[in-house]
Formats: sequence, C-alpha cells, structure tokens
Amino acid sequence: MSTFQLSRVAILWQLLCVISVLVPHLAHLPLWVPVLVISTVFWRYMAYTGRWSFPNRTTKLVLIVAAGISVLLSYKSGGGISSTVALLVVGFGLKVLEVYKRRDALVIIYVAYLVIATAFLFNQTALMALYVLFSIAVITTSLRTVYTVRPIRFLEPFKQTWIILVPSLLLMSVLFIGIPRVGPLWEVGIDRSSAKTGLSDSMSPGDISKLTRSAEIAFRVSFNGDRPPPQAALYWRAMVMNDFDGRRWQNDHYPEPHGVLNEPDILERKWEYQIIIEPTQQKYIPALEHLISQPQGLILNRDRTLSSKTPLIQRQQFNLASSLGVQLDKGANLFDLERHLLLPNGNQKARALAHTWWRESVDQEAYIQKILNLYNREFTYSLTPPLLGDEVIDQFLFETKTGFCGHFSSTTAFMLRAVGIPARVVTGYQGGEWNPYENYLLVRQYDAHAWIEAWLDGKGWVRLDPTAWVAPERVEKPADQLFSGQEGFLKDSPVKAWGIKGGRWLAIARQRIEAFNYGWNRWVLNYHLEQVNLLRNLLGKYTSVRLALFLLIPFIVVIFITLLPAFRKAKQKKLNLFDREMTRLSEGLSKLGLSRAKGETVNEYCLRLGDFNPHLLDDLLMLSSEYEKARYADLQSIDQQIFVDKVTLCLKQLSR
Amino acid sequence: MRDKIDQLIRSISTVLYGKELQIRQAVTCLITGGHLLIEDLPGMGKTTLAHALAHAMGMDYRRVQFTSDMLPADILGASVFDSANGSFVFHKGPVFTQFLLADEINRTTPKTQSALLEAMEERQVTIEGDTYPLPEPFFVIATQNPVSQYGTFPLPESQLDRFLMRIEIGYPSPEAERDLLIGGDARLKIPEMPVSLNPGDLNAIRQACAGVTASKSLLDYLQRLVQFTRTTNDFEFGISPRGSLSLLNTAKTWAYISGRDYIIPEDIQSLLVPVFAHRLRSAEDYAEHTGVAHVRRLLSEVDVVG
Amino acid sequence: MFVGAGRYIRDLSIKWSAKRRPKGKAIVLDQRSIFIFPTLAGWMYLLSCIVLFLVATNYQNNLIHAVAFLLIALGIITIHFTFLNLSGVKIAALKGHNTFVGDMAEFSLLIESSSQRGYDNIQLGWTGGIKQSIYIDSDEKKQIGLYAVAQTRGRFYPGILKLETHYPLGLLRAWSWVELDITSIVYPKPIKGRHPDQSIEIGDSELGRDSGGDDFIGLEAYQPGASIRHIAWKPYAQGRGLFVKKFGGQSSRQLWLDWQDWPELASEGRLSVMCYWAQRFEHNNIEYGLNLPTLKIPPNSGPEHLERVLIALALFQGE
Repeated sequence: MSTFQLSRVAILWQLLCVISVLVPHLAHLPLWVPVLVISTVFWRYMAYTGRWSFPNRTTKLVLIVAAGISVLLSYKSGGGISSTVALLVVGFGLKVLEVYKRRDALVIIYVAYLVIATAFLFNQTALMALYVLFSIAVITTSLRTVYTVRPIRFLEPFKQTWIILVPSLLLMSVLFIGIPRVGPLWEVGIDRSSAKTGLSDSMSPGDISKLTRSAEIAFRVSFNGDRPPPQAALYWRAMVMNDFDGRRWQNDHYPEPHGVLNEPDILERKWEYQIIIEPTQQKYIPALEHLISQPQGLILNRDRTLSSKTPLIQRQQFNLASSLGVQLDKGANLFDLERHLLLPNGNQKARALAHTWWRESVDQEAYIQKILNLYNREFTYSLTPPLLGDEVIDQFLFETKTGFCGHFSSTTAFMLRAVGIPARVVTGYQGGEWNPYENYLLVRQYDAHAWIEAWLDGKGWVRLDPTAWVAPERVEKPADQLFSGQEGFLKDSPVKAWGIKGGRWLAIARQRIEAFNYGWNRWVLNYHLEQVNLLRNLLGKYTSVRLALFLLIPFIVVIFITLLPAFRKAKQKKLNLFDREMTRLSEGLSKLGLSRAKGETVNEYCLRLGDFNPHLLDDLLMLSSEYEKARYADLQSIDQQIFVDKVTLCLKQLSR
Repeated sequence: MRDKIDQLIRSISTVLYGKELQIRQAVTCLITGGHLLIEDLPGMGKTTLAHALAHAMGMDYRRVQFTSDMLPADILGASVFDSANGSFVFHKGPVFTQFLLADEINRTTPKTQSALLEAMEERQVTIEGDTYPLPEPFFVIATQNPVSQYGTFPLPESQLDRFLMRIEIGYPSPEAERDLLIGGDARLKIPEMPVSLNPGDLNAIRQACAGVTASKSLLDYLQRLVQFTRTTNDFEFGISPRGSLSLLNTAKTWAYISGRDYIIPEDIQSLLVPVFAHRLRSAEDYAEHTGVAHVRRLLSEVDVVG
Repeated sequence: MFVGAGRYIRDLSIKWSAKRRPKGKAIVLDQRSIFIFPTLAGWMYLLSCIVLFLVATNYQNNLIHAVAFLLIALGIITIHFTFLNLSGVKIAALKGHNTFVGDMAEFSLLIESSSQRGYDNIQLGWTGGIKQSIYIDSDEKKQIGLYAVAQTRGRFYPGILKLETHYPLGLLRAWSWVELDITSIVYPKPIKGRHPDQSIEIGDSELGRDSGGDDFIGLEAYQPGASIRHIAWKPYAQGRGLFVKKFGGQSSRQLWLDWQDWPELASEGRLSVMCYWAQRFEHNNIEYGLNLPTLKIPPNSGPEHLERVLIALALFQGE
C-alpha cells in the first residue's frame, strides 16, 4: 500500500479538492492562509507538470514552523473554532506538497471532508449547502481516483461519483429526518466579531430611522392555523423602556423579580406561532402583544417581554402564544407605577403645556385625546426630520413638528408622565409582510417601531401609538408600501432591497425566494425543533420501535434501488422466442428422457423425436424447418404463433 | 453452378469409392481457397484423391514426391547461369503450377518443408531478391504419413495452420472395398474422367459462396465453440481468430454445396474436425497433436441453441 | 483453557471458510464466497464521521448533521459497490507453465465479467505471492499471468488464490479465496555435471562420429584415438591443452541420458545433471534419449522432445 503511486488524474483531483474546500472559508480566514494554500497547490501543480521540483526537507520544515507561528499570532486570543479551522486548512495546504502516496492522499481527503463541513459554522444558506454538496462530490471523486487503476479521462470519475452520491443523498435524508438530535454535549463558543444588529437597548428620538434604511430580516413568524392577525394588530413588543434622562429612553434594569404570567384580565383570541429570529447578538425576543406563554429557557420580564439568557448568535426558533386585547396589570402596585412617573428637569414649555391641558381635561382619556389631536393637526411624519438640540421635547413640540415614531412616542410619554399618568416607551416591530406561498409573516428591520403604554385607571397598561394619529397608514399598510416614497428608506441596502421598491413581478420573485428561505430555515436549519412533532405526525406515535422501522424501511428501499440495475444486468440474457420454444419442448420432454442433447441440432433432435413417434414426423419436420428458416436463414416472415402452437401440439402428443 | 460441383464430386467418387464425405470436404477446402493436408497411412488413396481433384477441376497438376535429400531449390527452382547470354536465368521449380500434390511432405527436412509452406502462404516465391508470383488459383494438397512412422519429420505445429483443413481418409467400408477390387486400379481411370469446371467457374462459385448468410444465432454458436477452446483447460492454446474465420468461410462453401444460401449448425459440425483438429493441441498429451477427440467434445458439450 | 477454545474457534473458522471456498477450473464469485470488512482507512473514515457528528451536535448545526449523515450513507452505499466489484467476476484456470526449481512458475488465468458490468482495481495473487492489480471491462476477457516460486520438483499446485478489492472508495475490503484447479510441472534445477561420455552411441558406424556433420559444436578434451584432423591447434598453441573440435549435424549423433551414468550422485542430483545436459544437447541440436529406471524415451531432438524429457525428469518417482 505504501509503495502505491498516485495516478496523474488522482493528483489533479487532489489539488482541485483542496481548492474547493478552501473557497467557503475565504471570508473569515486571515488573508495569508489562502495565499499560502494556493501557493502550495500551485507548487504541487508545477511539480506535477515537471517544471519545478518538490521542496526539500528544510524548506518544508521552515514552512511548517512559519505557518504554525502565523496561526498562533493570528489567533492570539484563542479563537475557538475559527482558529481550529485555520489550522486544519493550513496543515492540509502544506500536506499537498507531499502527496505522492496513497496514505498522504487519504489524510488530505479525510481532512477535506471535515473542513468542508465546518463551512456551515459560518454560513448556512442554501447556496452554501449546494456548494458543499458539490465540494463533497469533488472530494469523493478524489478519493475514488486513488483507488482506480483503469486509465480514465479527467472528468469520468466525477460523473461516476454521482452514481454513489445520489443514493447516498436519499439515505442521508432518511437519517436526517429520523435520527434524534441531542443537545450540546459541552459548551462551545463561536467567535464572531459581528456587531449587534436590530433594536438597541435604549431609544432616543432619532434611533429608529437607522433601521428603516435596512431591509435585513428581523424575524419570521408562522401562525398555527395559517392566517395571521390583522395588520393593525401586529405589534411586536421587544423591549420596554421606563427610564428617561431628558434625551434617551432606556430600561432602568431595576433588580425586579422575574415576571409571572398571571391570568390575563381579558382573554380574546389566542394566537400560537413559531418565531424564527435572526441573530442580533442581543438578548431581546420580540413577541406579539400580549404574551401569554413562557417557553423554556427564556426569561420572562415583569413588563411581559422575553429575554434570552445569552445573546442570540445564531438563528433561533421559539414557539410562543399571545392574545390580542389583554389588559395588563390592572392592579399594579404603587411602587411599580411610581417608577413610570419620573422625569428629569428641563423641557419647561412642554411641561407647562401639559399642566394647562390637564387642567382643561375631564379625565385621562380627554387629556390623551388633546395630545393626539395636536399631532394630527400640526405634525408631519418623516423619516428624515431635522436634528434636535438639548431640549428635545420642547423643540419637537413647538419648533420642528416633524418626526417619526421615536419622536412621537418619546414626546407623548413625557406629556403623560408630566401630569402623573404612568407611561413607558415600547420598542419593537409593527406589521410585517405576509408570504402567501409558505404562509408566514416576514418582519424586516425597517418594520421597527416605537410606541408607548400608559397605565390608565381601571384599565391597566394600555397601548397608545401616537404615530398612528399622524400617519395612520404606518400601521395599516406594510412598511414597504408606506415608505417607498420616503427619501431615507432603504438607503443602506440597495442590493438586498431589489424587489421591495420594484414592480410586481420582482415582488413575487422576491416573495418566492423569501418563502424558500423560510422553509429552509424552518425545515433544515432548525429541524431539531420540528423533528419531534414531525415524527409524531409521521409515525402516529413516537416510539423507538417505530422510529427504528422508519429508519430501516427507506434504508432497505434505497439499497434495493441502488442494487437493482446491477442485478438486472446480471440476469441471463433473454432467449429468442424460437430458442425459448425449443427449450420448452426439450424441458417438457425431459421426464421421458427425450430432452435435446447439448450438441444436438434442432434438425437432428426433431428427427429423433420423429423416430419416437412416427405420426408426428411431419409436424416435427415442419418445426425444424421453420426453426431453421427463422434462426439461420434470417427470414422474418415465420409466424411465431403457429410455431408456438406446433410446439405445444408436439409436446402434448409426445407426452401422452 | 451447384450441379457442376455435384458432378465434380460424383466423378471423383468413381475413382475413390465410398469416401463421399472426404471428397466433399476436400472440394470445400479447395473452393474456399485453402490448402489441404491429407494424413493417412500409405495406400489409402491420398494420391488418387489429389490427382482426381486436380484433373476434374481442370487444372495443371504436378506431383512432387518428398524425400529426405530434397533441397528447397528442388521445389522452388533456382537461378542458373546461362553462358549463352551471360546472365542468370531463373528455372522455375515444380511449385509453379496451379495444383501441387506434395506427397509425403513429412519425409523431407524441416528446411525444405518451410520453403514450401512459405510459398503456400505468400503465393509467391522469392529467390535472390527476385519475386515470382505463383499461378492463380494455387492449391497445395500435401499428404503426410502419421507421425508414428519412423524416419519422418512431422510438420511443426506453427506450420499446421497454414492448411485450411486436415482430413483423414480411412479404410474403405467392405462394400466400397469390394467395388474397388472389382473396379481395378483407380489411377488408370483418372485421365478418362470428365473435366467438370471451366477456369471461370471457380470464381463464380467463390462469389456465390461469399453471399451465403451467417445468421446472428449461428455466429453465436460459432463463437461459443471458439470460446470453449479458449476457456477449457484441455487445450494448450485456444483457436486463433484465423481459425474461427476459416471455419466460417468453409461453412459457407459447405452450405452452398449443400444447396442452401444460409449456414446451419450441421454445416459447422461437419467441418469442425477437419478445420479445428489440427489447430488444437491437447494440454495433457504434450507430444501428440491429434485434437480429434477433443473436437468431438466440442460437438457434444457446446450447446447449439441459445 | 482459553487457548484451547481460541484454537477450536480458529480451526472451526478455517474449516468453515475452506468449505465456502469455491473450487474448480472456472469459478464465478458470488455472495457465498465473498467476504467484506472495513479497512483501516474505513475505520478512519468512520472516525471522521463521528467527529463531524459531535461537532454538529455541539453546535446544534443541522447542516453539519447532514454532512455527517451523507458521509455515513456514502460509506453504507459503498459496501454494496465494493461487493459488486467482486461479485460476478469469472476466473478460469488456463494453463500452468512449466519451469525449473527456483524459478517463478507462471500460471495463466482468464478473467472476465459474467455480469455485464466492468470491474476496477481487483488485486489477485496466490497466498503469500506477489499481488497484481487488474481491471476488467464488461465485454473483455483478460488473460493474466500470475507467478509463484517453484520450490520442489514435480507437480506444482500454487495454492489458494485470493482476490481482493478496495474499490471504489477504499473504505471496505471485499475478498474471496478460491481454489483453482491448476497445476504446472516443475523440472529439476539444472546443475552442470559430468558429461555422459561413456554413453556416446556411435551412429551407424565408427565413421559417424567424424563425419557427423559440418556444424562446429565445440571443443572436447582430447582422448587418445581421436582423429588428428580434428585437433584444435589454436588453443594448443596458446598452451591451453589438447582439444578436439567436435562437429555435429542432425541425426548424426545420438546420446543417451542414462540413470546409471552418474552413480556418484544421489537421485535428485542425477535428475538435475540430466536436466542440464538435456538442455545442452537440445541447444547443440544433438539427438538424445532418456533412460530412467521406469521410463525410456528414444533419442530425438526438437522442443517437443525436450519437453517430454524434462517432464519425465520432473515426475520421476524414484527407482
């Protein structure tokens, strides 16, 4: 085995295999790694063509030491999986320089399988999956060429690889669906220096407008029962902010006990849904207003929002339930309410206006109505409002009078607190785009929204969306339709936004792609969340016996299908009709000891049978002459049916 | 044309009694264009058959009795200095004839044997750089005593397949022998035999034979036979492609003579011994090359149908 | 106790595999005679799959799961392709070529596909012998020569033939042992020995020796009485001694290789010397006969005669 030399085709495939494995890692490896690997591959290629010689021992040693040190330097901080991958890639890039025997080739190929799989730690799109499949075909081809002695053309083994790979893919699906997944065996970290995305944990009036420039996906939701709630009810609460410093709102992180899901006061329709959240590097989990379930592993805050224990670094899926029109904390305690009344000094004009109006109002509702009427009359909704100075509220109320949800909610909350109505700002998302092909709701970053909740006597916390008074269409229409005229909308994402601003066909195409991505996320990337339900549906009952059968039966079927062509070809070649009939005659008469001898021609045989039964001689002679004409004179005109009948007749007469 | 062949066979039968099969085989061999080796004990009618064939086919005929002191030049001819015009003149040897009977070829030295066999193969003679073509058609009927006779040089195996067929004549049946005893010396009757073929007839017959159909089913059978010799242990070497082609060609002629324009397995079977036996050597018996018994195995063990 | 049980099991498995081993002149490999087991590379591959599975589990990455499953499936499917790369191979014994003791004996085998499939990278060799890698196309018959060292004189049975394949991915090894009905004859090792002088049988007359022909064969030590015309003067002038030129031609000289000629040698030694001289005589075109206690071959020459003589020497069973 060790003296075995690789064929040239095998070496070429080795090099191709190294390159194909390197490609998906280009994005996260330090630049010198691909440069090194490509150089070694090139060197090996030149050695293959005979133009360069192989590196000598010293050169190899220097390369290995240098590469090792470089990896250490590049990943000083430890680095986790990313540095491991880098080490693997570098190592097998160097190994390329000494592939001439079978064992060297096998080391490269097996490591290549590992490295190509780790590409999924960094990118999990369907395109990447296709690429990895292609790459596995290349690696397998390379493995195949190592064990081939037949002289082959370059592409031939690649085509043959699919003969093994296609049934393997079928088997893989069975395993993928059936094999139960277990949780992580030990803690692992993935180092990704990517910035936080999505909502920030504080809000100043201008913040949300950054998000409206982005068409990035925030999360996807599919509802049990398929139909979504009406657009105007889609308020996705992510974070509640109760601390105002005069400019920005944030959560005071007061060490409060975890929330308890007490029975909601009024329960309207209950909505159960799965939400798949894109990684944000943050902990908030948006939920439809108002949450009535608490999934395991998540923290329920007292303001009925959810947080994850660790920042979301991967796309994750949760099953939640909410009910529209729930009244919250009607009997909240005083301390809790007081925290929602604090205001810093400043903004005197606004305070004065608030007190004037409070005095004029009969009750809380009338007061709120006054504010909303003001917005409705004099204010404009714009994604690109003028910048504000120090006295944010005053300036907005009396000077600029232009803004968007951040401005309106911030100002309204101030006005309510100023007269003693407990109020807080809620950030999250509003609306979403319904995808009719896969029946799910897609919420993008530009759906980000801010509104307020006020604690009204006898009603508890009530949602108020001042923006809706200024621009009711913000709530009633999907954001893309609403914003498309606005200047700042989607400014940062020209490429991803194709189809959002465009025409109808593009929109449909985009929705189709979105639908596919949703299915991909739900059924592939997060399959472990669906697995138990799916198997329960498929198997009726989730028992280990049924699971074993479920795995076994397709297994056997796939293997059978794979083997079928081989066995079919192995069967004996089909006999010609006339030969078959003669065989039938001979076998039929074998009991009487009258079967045809191997070397006996049909003529001789028929004559012999004629000796045995002279009455049949004429028929038998006709039989042999017909046979002769059909098989040796190549006459097509011989009537097969008559021949068959004649054989049957002779058989019957002779057997008697 | 067929009736001419029938007539040919019939007229030869008048001098060689009771050997219709051998005569047919010999005629088939010559029509197919190959050389014939007749192997039998002295006095079985080898020379008679050859002479009669030559005469009935209307060809000029020469007979060479091979002896141990014969040199290649005695067969092929030699360049002789002609003092009259001061140059070498080639004197053609007895091989320059349409029909050569090489009698008892195993009595001469291998050197002389191979000179003749080379001429047979190439249908020309090369002496001192000059090439002299042999007449067309050119047939050799060689006779050979069985190897066991003392003082002979059996033909080496490699040379044997230059002969398209090898036949044995065998003892006549009692009836035939009686006819022979009554009929008197057959050789005297040969000059009185009618000549059955014109010079043009042979070509016409050959063309007709080439048109005989060999069906797929028949070719399968032929290939099974050949394959058997190559895969079974009994034979030292399998039949060469030249051997299988020879069988097919002679079978076409045989079918034509039998009045058919397609080959049937019987044709193949009739020719298996004369065409294959001398091309096969038993793997067990290293000294002898009588493949006859093994060819009979081919006949019984290879299936005709299928 | 344990050792005994182990040996018992081993004996049993040897018996079992011997029973399953097909025997004959032509053998078609099928599932009864094919064994299959992972190779070291195969175990390594499995290890890689397990590593991938652990990575997938720990990162809860379903796509890496998919890759791990795909590789496992690939391994499983390969079992069948490896099996198919041996199943249906037809192997027939053609001929064992005779050779001398100590040389490599060649055995001609005919290998073909009986399944209309092609085969790639099948290694075959006698147990303990050199392996040879071959491939077979679906419509091809391949004649190969396999060699085995001929150790002793007589009939040589090369032993069990092992066919093995790792194709297509090297993860599994399928193999088959067959007992082919094939033998060759091993001639004694030729050893130069004393010329069988005494047994020169003068042809028809005393004259025969001198006028034996005109082909110069070689020199022979002078013996009193030899014709003065044949003395080689050149070596004599060079001071190498007195030699007589020997001439030979066809059938002029007949020698006997007689068992009794070398009374000083043991029987194997005698056979070796006879073997040597038979070849020499054949080379010099001298007719020679063989006289063994059990067999007599009359003088002759030619490759077929030589073969007969050598076979007789090879198969000689003693007095």
